[in-house]
Amino acid sequence: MKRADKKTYIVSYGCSSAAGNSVDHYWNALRDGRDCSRPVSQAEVAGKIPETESRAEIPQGFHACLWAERRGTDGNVLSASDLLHTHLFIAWKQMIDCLPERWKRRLDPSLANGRRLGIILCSTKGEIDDWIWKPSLTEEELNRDPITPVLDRFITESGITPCLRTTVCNACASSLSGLFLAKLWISQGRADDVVLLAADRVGPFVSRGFDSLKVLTGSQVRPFSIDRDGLRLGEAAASIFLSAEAERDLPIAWELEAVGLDAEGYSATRPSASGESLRRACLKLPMIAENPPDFVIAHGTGTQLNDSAEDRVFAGFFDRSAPKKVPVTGTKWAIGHTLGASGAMDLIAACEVIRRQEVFRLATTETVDPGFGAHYLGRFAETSLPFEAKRGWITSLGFGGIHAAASVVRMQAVQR
Amino acid sequence: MKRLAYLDFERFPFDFPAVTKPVWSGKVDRWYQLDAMAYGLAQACFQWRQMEAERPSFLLLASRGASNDADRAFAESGAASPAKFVHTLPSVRSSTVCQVMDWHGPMLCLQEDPSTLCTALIEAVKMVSEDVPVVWILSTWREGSVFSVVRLILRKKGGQLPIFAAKFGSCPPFFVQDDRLHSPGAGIQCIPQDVPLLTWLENSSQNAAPFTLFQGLKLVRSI
Repeated sequence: MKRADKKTYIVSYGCSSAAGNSVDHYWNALRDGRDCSRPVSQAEVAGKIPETESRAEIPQGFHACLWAERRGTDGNVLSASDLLHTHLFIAWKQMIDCLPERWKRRLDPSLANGRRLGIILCSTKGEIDDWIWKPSLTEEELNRDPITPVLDRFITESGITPCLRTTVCNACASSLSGLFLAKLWISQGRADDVVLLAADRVGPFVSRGFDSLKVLTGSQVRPFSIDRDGLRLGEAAASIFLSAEAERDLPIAWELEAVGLDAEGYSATRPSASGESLRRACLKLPMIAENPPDFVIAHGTGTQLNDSAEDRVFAGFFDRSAPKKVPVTGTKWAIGHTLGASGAMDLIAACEVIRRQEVFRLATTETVDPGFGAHYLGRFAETSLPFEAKRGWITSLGFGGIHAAASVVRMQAVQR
Repeated sequence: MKRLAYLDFERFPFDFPAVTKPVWSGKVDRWYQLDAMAYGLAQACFQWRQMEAERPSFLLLASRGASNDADRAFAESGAASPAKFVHTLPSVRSSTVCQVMDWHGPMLCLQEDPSTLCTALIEAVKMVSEDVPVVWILSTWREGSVFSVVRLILRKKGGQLPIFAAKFGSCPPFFVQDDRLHSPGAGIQCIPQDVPLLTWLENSSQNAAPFTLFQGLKLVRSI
């Protein structure tokens, strides 16, 4: 039985990050070269964890890219669950606001007219910090994952009635993996529309964990730089509306052409230096010769191993000496590594590049590693695209050897 | 009624911590630092690798409680051990699976407690096709101090049972059928919980009533 070949369109999106509570804030930070990281306090990161819980103390001198809004209406610091919920709803409302009026009805069960809505939440640790530090946990608590309750709460409070739902936990490739599943649901005819949510927060658990791995930079994130020395953690929430349809009344829409996934058995925390798994994921995208991307939003964490592995792949596909240069950039120097939300944030950045016909630099990368073969848009690079930006690639690498790549292409002419 | 896929089910119990160096230790770097679930998956997958030629076209990881045990171990140990932090994602276990089986391919880790395994099973049923002929679902379980790996194999076409099925407690195959009792867009259908699913798979007799999965999908025990 051959699967129906339905296309998947990206119709609308919203996000919240350290850059601000909107897509425009996010874009402006990328365009203007604004590094949104800053020193953060224990109180900001710990949320409602008691001060006496010494295991939950953040590393000394910890910098991160945090959401500015971290307190409730009562002025108290929000719990992990409340913080995720707040920013998921910020992203969700933006996404709705950007939908044409008659598309908004698709989210109202009384007006949806039989249209089937799916929802996927992508996250790595969900609300883990709200309970993992408790003196003891019951068997019931240990048997309940930390992500599903976030989706449960969102569905309840948003009032939507999805016919399909799940959470995807594919490490830092969660968002692109979630997009794979959303596209599958639409192509299988199981859903007409899918909302992809993605969110992760920086709490004591992940801050201490990444610190233990010694992958955090002591200075600044400089992806693909000769002196790159690590990553910074960041918080983000994204909401993306995907549909089997795109109508002419939309000012612009994008097609999610393909998503490739590959898991390899090399190491739990390091990609293979050859980049072979990422290469396999990229080969599942439309044939490069006929449909080359006009730009790439790389995972680009700023660690030695990640960036080297990605360059092996990019240089293999688009060497900088080739007549047509494919510029490679990234977002993590601005908003940090947003874990399970990073792929969604990169997808939004790619859609904005296509919409605005502008690309942004790796603003903190002054000198690209001379050993790299791809064309990176470092700090002093020319950013005017020599050709129309129609197609972009996004890549994600996750712990456990998970690799993902996505291709997004403009569907309609841009109306400025 | 339409037969959609064939299902094999197997539960692989294992002891943890290891008392001897496992046979597959050379394939997994720092095997002695694996958490219980990754260790169990390695044990199970190594056995399957030895006995079966078939490999999955797609892998779904679907474990109750995600990586909560490993998360708790990291937190309780002072939240400073990189060896423990490495295992605080349920998807990381795919690395061990890939290493032991010399396999690579598409993988999704889904969570939907208390219906994680059922959710993965529904996705696998819908996914299996001529392009994706074999889908494996791997799920790790801890019930008190008893550990096990559950494997569900969805095949588009019926295949032969593993030859060591009897030894490792594999049950006769099942199949998944679509009764079309529910029309599309019938609203939210509750997905059953994992414990009843496993109970049915392990204990159902030959004439047992089908297990209703979701929107007309039912599991039927083969005669």
